[in-house]
Parts: sequence; C-alpha cells; structure tokens
Amino acid sequence: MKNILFIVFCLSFFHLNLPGLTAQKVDKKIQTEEFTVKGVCGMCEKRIEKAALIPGVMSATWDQDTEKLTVLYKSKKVTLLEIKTAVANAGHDTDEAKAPDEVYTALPGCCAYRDGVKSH
Amino acid sequence: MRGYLHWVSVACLLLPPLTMHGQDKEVFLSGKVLDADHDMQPLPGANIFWLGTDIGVATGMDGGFQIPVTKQSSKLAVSFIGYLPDTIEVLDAGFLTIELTSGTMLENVHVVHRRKAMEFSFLDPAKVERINEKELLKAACCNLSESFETNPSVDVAFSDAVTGTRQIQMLGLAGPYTQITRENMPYIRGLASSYGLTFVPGTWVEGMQLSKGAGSVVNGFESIAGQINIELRKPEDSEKMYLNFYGSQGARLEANANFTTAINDQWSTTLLLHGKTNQRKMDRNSDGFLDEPNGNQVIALNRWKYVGDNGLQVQFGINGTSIDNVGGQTSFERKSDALSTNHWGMQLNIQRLEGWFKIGKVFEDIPWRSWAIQVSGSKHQQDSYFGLRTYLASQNSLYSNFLYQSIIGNTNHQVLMGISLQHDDYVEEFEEIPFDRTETVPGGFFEYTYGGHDKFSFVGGIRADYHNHYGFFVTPRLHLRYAFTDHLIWRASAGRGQRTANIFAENNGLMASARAFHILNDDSQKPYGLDAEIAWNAGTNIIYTFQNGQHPGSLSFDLYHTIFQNQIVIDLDRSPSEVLFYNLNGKSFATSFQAQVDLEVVTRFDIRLAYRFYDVRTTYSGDLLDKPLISKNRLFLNLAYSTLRNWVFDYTINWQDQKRLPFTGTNPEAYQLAERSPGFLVTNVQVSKNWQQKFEVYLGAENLLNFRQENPILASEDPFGSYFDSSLIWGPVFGRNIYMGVRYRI
Repeated sequence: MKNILFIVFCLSFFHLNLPGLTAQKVDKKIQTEEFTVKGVCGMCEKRIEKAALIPGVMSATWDQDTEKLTVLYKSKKVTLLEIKTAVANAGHDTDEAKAPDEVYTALPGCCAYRDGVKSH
Repeated sequence: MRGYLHWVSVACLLLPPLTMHGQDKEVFLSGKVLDADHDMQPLPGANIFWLGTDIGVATGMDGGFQIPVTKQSSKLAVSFIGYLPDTIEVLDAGFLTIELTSGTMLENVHVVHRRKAMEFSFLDPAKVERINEKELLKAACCNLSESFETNPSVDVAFSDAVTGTRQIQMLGLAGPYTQITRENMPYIRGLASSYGLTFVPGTWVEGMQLSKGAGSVVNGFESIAGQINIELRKPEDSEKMYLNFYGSQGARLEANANFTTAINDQWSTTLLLHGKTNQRKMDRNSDGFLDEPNGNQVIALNRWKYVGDNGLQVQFGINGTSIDNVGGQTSFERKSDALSTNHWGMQLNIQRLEGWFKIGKVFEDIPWRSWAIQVSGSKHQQDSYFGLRTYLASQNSLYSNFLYQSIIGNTNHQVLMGISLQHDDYVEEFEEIPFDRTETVPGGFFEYTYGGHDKFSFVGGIRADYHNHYGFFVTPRLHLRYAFTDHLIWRASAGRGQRTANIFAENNGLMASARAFHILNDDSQKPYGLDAEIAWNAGTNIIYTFQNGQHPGSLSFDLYHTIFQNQIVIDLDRSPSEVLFYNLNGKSFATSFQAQVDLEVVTRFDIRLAYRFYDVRTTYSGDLLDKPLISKNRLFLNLAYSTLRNWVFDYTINWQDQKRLPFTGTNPEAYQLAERSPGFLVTNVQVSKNWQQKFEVYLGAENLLNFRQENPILASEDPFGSYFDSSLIWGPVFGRNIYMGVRYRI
C-alpha cells in the first residue's frame, strides 16, 4: 500500500511540474523588458531590484555597469510603466519616470547619482 | 524613435524648477553628445550644465539634450565619466554637436581585491565556508583529509596506528556523521565513509563548501554534523594541463595529472589521474610496526560536459579507485605470513568504480526555472584482514533524483522540489560471519527559500522518506539569516538527520586490536539488528567583518548542539578486551563552540586564530562519559605571508588539550594507560615559490617539532596476545615529515 501511495505521489508530482506539459501556456504571458535606471552602487542595486518586484513582476536584475534593469513580468497583471514608476518612487530615475525630488534627496550620499557621484 | 520621444519628455522633466520660475519665456538649446573614441556613437547620460549655474541636464539614449538658455552664462560645460570634460562657448541657439574623447587624464582605477583562501558567504542563509584552491595548496599533500589540517573547523586524526587512515571530525562527531557530496550528489558514504576523503586527491579539487549543522534537504537526510561538498575540476574552466609530483621523507611518492580539453563549443572533457606509492619500510618509533602501511594507490576520473544552445546541459563521468596497502609488523611478508601467527600483518585492498550522469535544463526566457535529473551508481569492494581477523565487504549503490526549481510570485520566493531514490546492497563478512542487507529509500523533498533584498532570509526544507527497514520518517530543516548591517550577520539552523551506522566499515581501526566485537542487537531484520541513528542539530553563528585601513578582517562565533535520539554506541570502556555496539540507552550529545579571527595584518600577511571547545558525551553502559579520544580544547593559528615575487610562506600551529582514554584498568599494569592523554602541539610549515603562475616548487615539514605519541600500539611485542590494541591513538604516530613537490600548469 505504501508503495502504491508513493507511485501516486510521484505521478502527481510529475504531472504538476514537468515543464512543457502545463507550463507552456502560462509562460507566453511572461514578458522580458530592459530599460535604464540611474544608480551608482551596490546599495542602489538592492533598492532598485527590491522596488521593481511589485506584484506581477517575477524577476528584476539591475546591472551597475550598464545601468540597465531587466524585468520579467506578467503583462496581464502589471504594465512596464507601473514598474518604472515603482522604481522611480524608490528614488531612481528611469527612462520614463523620474524620481520625486524629496525621495531622491533622502537617498544616502553614496547613491546621489544626480549630483556627480560616480559608479563605485 | 519611440525612445527618443520618451527621452525628450524626460529631459523636460529634468529641468530644475527654479529656472522655470526665473524666466518668462523658455528658449531651449538642443544638441547631441557623441563619443569621438567609438565611431561617433551617441553618449547617453553625459552631464551638461551652464558654467557657474545650477542649470543642467543629462543626455538621453541617443546622446541628445535640450537645455534652457539662460542669461547667467554662455559657457556650456559637458562631462562624462571616463571622458575629458569640455566647455563650449555658445554663440547662437543652433543645434550643437559635441564630441567627447577619453583622454590621458583618465585615471585607470585598479580595484585590487585579493581573494581570500577561505571565504564565508554572506548572502546564503546557511553559513558556508568556501574553501578554494589557495587554501588547499597550504597543505601540499595529497588527499583531502590532509587538506583540512589548515582548517580549524575540521579535525583530522589517525583512526589507528596501522592502517594509516586519517579520519575527519566535525562538531566533535566522527567523519561518517558528515555528509560528503560531489557537486551535490552523494559521494563518499556507506563502506567508503571511514576512509572518506582519502579517495579524493587534493589536486583534483577546485573548491569545497563546508557547512556545519543541518544541511539542505535536497542532498538527502543523512547529514548530522554537517556537509562537505566537493567541486572537482570542471571541463569548462580548468587548466589544459596540471601536473604535480610529491615526495616525502617517509618515501611516499605521489603523482597527479589533470588534463582538460574543449572538443568543440558544446563538448568538453577533463581527465584526472592520481598515483601514489609507498614502498619503504619505516619504523621510526622502533615498536616493530610500520608507521604507515606500504602500498600503491591509483585513482582515475574522466568527466564530460555538454552545453546545448537551448539551456540544456549534460554531464557524465566515471571514477575508478584501486588501493592496495599492507601494514603491520615490519617483518610481515604478505605471501608467507598472511592470516598466520608468524607475524602480525594487515591488508587493505579496496576496488571502487563509480559512474554518474546529470541532465538539466535552464529556460532561457524564464531564468529562474530549471529541472535536472541525476543518476549515480557505484560498486565498492574491500578485501582486508587485520592479524587473524578477516573483513570482506561489498556495496552496490544506486542513487537517482529529479529536481525542479521555480519561484512563487517573484524571485524572492524560490522553491526547489523533487524526488529521490537511494538503493544500497551490502554484503559483508566479518570473521567469517555474514552480514547482508539491502536498504531502499524512496523519498520526496520540498525546499522554500525566501531571500531578496531584505535583512532577513530563510530556507525551510522538509523531506519525507520511506526506509525499507526503519519505515517512514520526516526530515525538517531550517536556516535563518539576519543581517544587522552589511558587516554583522547572524545565522541559525536546526534540523534532523538519520543514517545507518556501518559498524564494521566505520571501525576498521578497531579491528587492528585484540578486542572482541559484540553487537547487542535484537533479532530483527534491521541492519545488524540495530536501529537507525537519529540526531537533531541546532546551531547559531555570528560573523562580523571589518576594515582596518585597507586590511580586511573578520570575527566569527559558532555554537552548535547535537542531540542523539538514537545512536549506535561504540563502547570501548566496558572492557579493554571488547568493543560493544548497541542502541543508545540514555543521553548522547555534542556541543561545539568556535571563535575565529581572520585578519590581514599588513598587505599579503594573513593571520587566522581560532579557539574551539567541545563537550561530547555519550551514555556508556549507564554512565554519561566524555567521548574518548576527543580533546575539549583546541587552539589553532595559521600565518600566511606572500611576497610580490611569488614566495608564499605558511605556518600552522595546532594545540590540542588532553583527551580521555578508554578504560584499561583491568589490563596488567604494563598495559594500562593513564586516564587522560597529555596535551600536545603540532606545527606545520611550508614555503613555495611560483614562476609566472605556471611552475611552482614547494618544500614543507609536517609536525616540525617532531611530537609523537609514545607507544601508540599497546602490547606491540605480543600482537596475537589478548592486550594488543593499536586503536588508542590520541596524537601523531609519525614524527616530523619533510616533503617537497612541484606543480606545473598551463
């Protein structure tokens, strides 16, 4: 009996998770976009990536050298502009949305990318 | 084009509000900034402002800009990181093209970060000591168990005075309680576990990850004291050729050769070879016994890797091991004296073959999703005798798992799940009594990792397995991490481990004694009639890193506690002529505390100082006693200095406090030992010189002060008598050992 249970367990597992069977349909909705986000350091990176992970965004990776943020998101749940706004509201200018001044000025000194602080 | 329009709107937004108020009518100057060094490509992100004012903008993706004209200044300053700044006198409002060039003024900033030999991972919720090649090179030789002599977290000790086996210990628990994996697949377990890392030549290893306490459920349920994951040289990034030759005063010779080739863009392969021979009979303490066995050892491994265009990866490999050692009395000759009372001798012959296969896929458009199937099989055979005692054993194993990794919501919530199957067939024969068993353990596991950009991260794992003898059991494990600051990190872990004790294979050293083996078992079909070993481990640690000027340093504290729910007690205390194996009846625990400082005192001069405390106690026939042959206190100091001319100096001091010795009070007075061994100090030193990172020569001495345990073998003059015992080893058997070697890599 235990063996049968185990086999059932295995089968249900495979059925649920084998990509290609069920996952394919879902994945079509996942969009990948890349855009510029201003920032200069590792602290900026953390802040940018954290801010971009709003509901619907599955992954956000910012590259300090290129200042590009790559996001993978579900276009049905969230728009690119919403993501950019979320990042800007955390203090980092994007190509479409600018950070509010009061948020920007509250950033730590090392992140003051608008005021000549260089990538470090 | 769309991008340009976006940019214009952003550029407008960027205008400082003050200028808006200051001027009645906005007049804009437009232009473009180009990179003169790169075919006049547009320079996005360049700064443009009116000299002497705070009116400024930055260029857009196409290098374009629009700046409001002001009466305060007519000089436009343009700058960009890494380029010579420029100032332009603006005479009319026409479109402006500005070329910037990176000039000699640009300072090349070199970020120099010396990679430490041992680093702690900061992001991982589990504290993992990453031991890289630099650390491994501190001990010139030869197999991994010796490599740990420069690491304070792991103890290395001889298991007995004749087989030459070095066993590792973590958290005060013997080697087999530590799970050893190769690239996260089960590696050294079962019959091989007592010889453990002897099977892994040091030069084959690219790096190791050592974690104390509860590990990940993904790698199985067996780890109790911790995990050591070994990363072997990989086909994709190893040197084309790496040769190493080693010779020691004890006439031990070793050769290692690694070769790596990329066949084409997809296929690459690595071949690893190791040979060792030790033919000279050495008896430096004049007890009539060889200090180390004579013999030969050949180990070879070949691995292949395929990387497809679509994220598909295939890896497979094969590993063969052949060890043939003869030890015992110097007068012993295998041909004429085997299994006779002419002379006491020992033979250890191990043949092992192992193969593995992994296939995995990462989805390019969904990088967080991957799956993998891993299969490995091994055949292990040991043919040995110790005096008149024979021990024959074989193990056939099959392991397979399927892993699937994905996220819930976003990449801060990762899940890893899968199923596994472990199957082992053991055939053992000890003193002509057969002990056969089969263990089959199917199971499933699920692990959730929360980690992102918060101070807190966490890994929770659970697995459920069904063992054909011990039944269904659940293994929960948990890791927490909290970063108070970037420099102060706290971690905690807890979890369960379960394993089957291989009472014979793990105690080969005890066979080299007159002790009679008694198993106090029931009549069940369970392995040896004994229960599974079950332990719970909890631990916490704090690591603080600091910067002393340019010199990095770290301070860490570890505290771990293991409680055995059941243990197979190895009782040497009831009588000096017996060893008993029985299920724990009472308490058994191991507490371990470690404090460690790592410091770069001056550039290229590193100090590591560590103190460790163990309290390991087990109930032996009703009495809670210190586990024998374990020292409560240990101090460790490693000094490493390297010069700019590629000289490297390494010096290690290891002090061990006294250890409890098993009871010998009923022996005749000549064969009685003190209750405790004395404390002792062992120092190792090594100097190496490197030429162009290709050719390296090293010279070193182990146990420089030549400290030796007096009379390591009890009743060595009467090896067939009833008091003979070579397993009561608390210190070095071999004295000072000077060695030399070369390494060559291209």
